[in-house]
Amino acid sequence: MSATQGPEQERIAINLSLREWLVVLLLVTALAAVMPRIPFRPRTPEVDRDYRMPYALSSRYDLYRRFTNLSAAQYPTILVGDSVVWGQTSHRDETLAHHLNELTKQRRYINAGLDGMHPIALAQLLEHHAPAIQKKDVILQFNPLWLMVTSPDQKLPENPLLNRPGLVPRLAVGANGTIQQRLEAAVARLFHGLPLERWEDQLAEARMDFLAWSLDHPYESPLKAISSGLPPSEDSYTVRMLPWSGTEKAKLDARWPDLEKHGQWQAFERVIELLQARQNRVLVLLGPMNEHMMSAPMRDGYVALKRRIQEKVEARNILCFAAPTLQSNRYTDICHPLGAGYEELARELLRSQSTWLLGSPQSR
Amino acid sequence: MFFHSMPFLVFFAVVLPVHFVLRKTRFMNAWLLLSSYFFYAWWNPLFLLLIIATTLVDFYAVRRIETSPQPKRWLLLSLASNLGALAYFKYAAFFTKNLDALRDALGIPGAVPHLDPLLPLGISFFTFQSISYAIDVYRRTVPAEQSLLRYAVYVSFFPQMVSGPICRAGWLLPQLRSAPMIRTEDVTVGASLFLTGFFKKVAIADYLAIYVDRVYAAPENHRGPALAMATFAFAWQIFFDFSGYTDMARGIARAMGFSLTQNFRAPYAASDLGEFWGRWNITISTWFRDYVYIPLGGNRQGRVKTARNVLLTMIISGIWHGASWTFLLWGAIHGIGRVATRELGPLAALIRRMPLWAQRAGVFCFVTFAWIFFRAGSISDGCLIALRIFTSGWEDPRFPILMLLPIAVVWTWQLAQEKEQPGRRLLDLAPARVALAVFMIGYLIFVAQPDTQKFIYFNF
Repeated sequence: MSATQGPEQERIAINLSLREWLVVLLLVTALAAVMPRIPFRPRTPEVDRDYRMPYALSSRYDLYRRFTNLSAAQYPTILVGDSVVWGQTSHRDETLAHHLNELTKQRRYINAGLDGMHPIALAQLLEHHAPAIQKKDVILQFNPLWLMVTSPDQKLPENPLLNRPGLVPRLAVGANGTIQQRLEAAVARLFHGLPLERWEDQLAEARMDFLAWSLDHPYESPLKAISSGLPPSEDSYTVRMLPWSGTEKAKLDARWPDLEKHGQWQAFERVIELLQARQNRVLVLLGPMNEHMMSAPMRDGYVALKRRIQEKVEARNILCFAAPTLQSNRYTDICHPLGAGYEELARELLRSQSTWLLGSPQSR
Repeated sequence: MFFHSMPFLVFFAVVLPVHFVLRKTRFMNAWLLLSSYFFYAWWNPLFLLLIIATTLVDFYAVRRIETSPQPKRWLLLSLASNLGALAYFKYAAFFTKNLDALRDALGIPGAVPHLDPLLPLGISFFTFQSISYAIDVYRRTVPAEQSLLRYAVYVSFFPQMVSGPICRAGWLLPQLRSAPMIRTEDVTVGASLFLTGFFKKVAIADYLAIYVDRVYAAPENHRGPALAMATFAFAWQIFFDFSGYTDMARGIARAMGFSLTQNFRAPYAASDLGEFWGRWNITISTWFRDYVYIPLGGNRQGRVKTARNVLLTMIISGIWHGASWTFLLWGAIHGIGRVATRELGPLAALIRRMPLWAQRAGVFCFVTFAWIFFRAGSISDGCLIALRIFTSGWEDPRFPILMLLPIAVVWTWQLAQEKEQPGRRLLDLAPARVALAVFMIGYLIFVAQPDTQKFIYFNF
């Protein structure tokens, strides 16, 4: 070990003088002005039937907006929800949206799920980043597991959006935000209306999304990614995909919280209200949940909870389909089906709700 | 508040000009302290109380070291304050969980209550910096600081409080005693360092992380080549991540007229493990050398005790990184490697006969192998990965060629710096420097992922 508590002795790789920094700033400014004007992408690219947001870009909400803009123009029915809709434990051609398209032999359903989108986040996502889906048919998934994400005293984490910078646009932060959010909002307000803001949007539009793509196309030229309208979808896996075959000991035993008082349920109701206000035709998909993984009391609680949720959703004149219990080996954990599970779920959904699923979208 | 975030850039845009104005007045340290506490409070204001409390205890205890007839008592008080905070916040969960598991294994009824306090950001760094100060005063290598304000700035100086580099009192405190000179060169060098660190972190480390995270999340879904490539990528991810952070920290400090200690010197160009630790996270390596290895007896008590001291130091260094068996094993692997290959170790003669490139490759492979346990979620995952790398057969790793590019460029560059080799002087040419800087900024704007990950060392 060598001591180095002393002055800097290393060569700094890039050491620019003041004059060189000025040249750099000039060139970067020119680059930033020119790049958004270069037509890298076709204006209205076709969204592939099995497209889903690349997992690594799950928090690129600007991209989600671009994706839903294009999808809304090309597909009558949008599936929104969390990793269950996205298909965290399946290939992109094994998801619920895929099987619905396959079974109906139509190009009708598009997967707009995003990993980790609990109802509180989903409400913000749809409000701020998916305006284009208004008046569309929406299959809205509710994952009851989010009701379990609480502290032992049944309270939600203090800020459930803490790990989602950018989900709530800075200008939308209200008085209830944290000090940090409010300060950020104040700074953003300073820039509001300045040309800088428009420039930021233009830069976001000019971004090239080939890094995550390169993971699934490791030996291809990144130029291929640049020329496409959306970053190519991919089949990344971030979780283990083994069929669940747990023992009695591995079963979960927890108490379901009081539905009406739970922040995630309240947020889900806000999502429904938002979609209704936007004149969407909505079908709520409740679950799926791996009931084999629940202890008997927890399962009983879940059955009662399902009933309660169905009543509350239907009271708003919205159809609610509670996913049936699939065989245990069709799940990989408490809520994610494997490919075959999605197929079975799609069949059941179609059998039960064919009128809604195959009916013409309401005349607008 | 990450250095590579908009809130920090706004924060620094306020702090720097005010510091520039105040640096020649008696308000300089007050401003630095206010800025540093604000920076820390942005993460969690509650833990400011912890910093303030340990600062007060250390300041008064260490002053008594200098004046008391029983200085050791005051040193122990300072050590107890720092190590106590560290033990509770960092190790209580690990300790109680393992104690409960042991109780369960022994069939003892009851349960050990699980403690799981929130880990204060940077606790491993600011406590170690405080400990080094107390011991240095005890050893009379530095005088006790007489100004509480200045000492508080020394502990919490925002560029380095969260993840180092750990600066000794003899290095940083004198800089806080006089008005720092801020020349144009300091600002341009600071900006250059910041840009380099920003690029390392956001453009390279975060990109490599995409592959690493995917493979390490489910190692049983992958075979040897993918696991080996993910481990190789992690070796570089952690280098770019941590050295990127350090570059940014040093750049920020430099722009303010302060010099922080160098923390990385091309570690993957090292030709033996001792040299690797002289190049990797240098400030923490030297900390363990001066405050653990040497007090244990260093190399003064024969080969067996020297080996014991090396091994113990590395194990403690491992557990310092995190309260987990994986870190302990990682430290132990390094300890065993160092004992086996050090000058009088059993493999030393063999290694000396190897060409330099082979020595370097050997060190890199060893260090990379050890990273498996640093990165794995558990010992069993680590063993599974290590085993599958060698036994699970061929499979296309699907490692993006694009990821190899920055690694190859940087590695070649670092090796070229070691000797007078072609290309070494390339960046002495102004157009090359300008072109590279434009490329880096352009890449950060148009290509790098905007949702960046936190620094790996923030976990420690």
